[in-house]
Amino acid sequence: MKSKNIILVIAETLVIGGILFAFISPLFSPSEENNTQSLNNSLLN
Amino acid sequence: MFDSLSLVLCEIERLKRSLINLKIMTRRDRPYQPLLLRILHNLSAAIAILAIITSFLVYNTYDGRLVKLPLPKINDIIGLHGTFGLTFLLLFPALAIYSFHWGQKRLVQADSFSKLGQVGKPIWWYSLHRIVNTLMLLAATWALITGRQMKEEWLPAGEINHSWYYLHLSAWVILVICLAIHLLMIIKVGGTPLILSMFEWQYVPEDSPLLWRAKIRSLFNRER
Repeated sequence: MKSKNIILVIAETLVIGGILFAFISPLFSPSEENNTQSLNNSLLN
Repeated sequence: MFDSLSLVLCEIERLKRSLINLKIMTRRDRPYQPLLLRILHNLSAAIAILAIITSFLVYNTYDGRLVKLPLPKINDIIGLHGTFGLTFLLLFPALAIYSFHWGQKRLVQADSFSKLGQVGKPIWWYSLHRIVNTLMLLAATWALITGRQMKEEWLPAGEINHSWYYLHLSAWVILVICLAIHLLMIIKVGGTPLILSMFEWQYVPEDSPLLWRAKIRSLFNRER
C-alpha cells in the first residue's frame, strides 16, 4: 500500500482551513457586529 | 468523378494521419499540462499578480515607510486591490482542491526533503520545485487570511500600525519571494517548453471538459 504523504496532508489541512477561515472570519469581526447592530437599529426605528 | 472523389478521400486520410502524428509528437516532445490545471492556474496567477501589483500601489500611496516610488495616485486603489483579493479568494479553493488531489505529483512528496541532500542533481531541482509549489499555496492562503482581517478605512485614516496590516505585508513579501523562486524553478526545470505548455489551447481527448464531472464524482466516491 502506498504510504500517505503526511507533509502534504498537513499542507492541505492548513490551506483548506485557511480558506474557510478567510471566508467566515470577517463575519465575526467587531465592525461587522457594529454594522449589523446599526442596521438592526435603523430597521427597528 | 470517382477519381476525384477517391483523391479527396485519400487526401482526408493523409491529413488525418498527419494530425495524429502531430498530436503524438506534441505529447512526446513537449511537456503537457492538464486543461483544468491550465485554466485554474492561469486565472489564479493573473488575479494574484494583479493583487500583488495593486497592493504595492496601496502601500506606496498610504505607507511607503521602507520604499516609496514616484508613482501616480490611482483613485480607490484599496477598493481595486480588495476586488482582486476577493476574486482570488473565490478562485483559489478550486485551484487548491485540484492541486492537492489531481496535481499531487507537482507538490511536496514524502521524500522531497531527503532528496534536498543531493545538491545540484536534477532530483534536487525537482524536489525544490515541488516544495516551492506547496509553499506558494500556503503563502497565498496566508495572504488571503491576513487580507480578510484588514479594514479599508485603516490606511486612508493613517492607521498603519495594525498587527493585521503588518501580517498582510509579511504575506506580500513571502508571496513575492515564492513567486520569484517558482518562476526561476520553472525556467531551470523545464525552460521555455514548460512555460509554453501552460498557455496551450489544445488538449488530449481524455482531458476533455466533458469528463470533468465524472472525475469530480470519482474523487468524492474515493474519499467516502
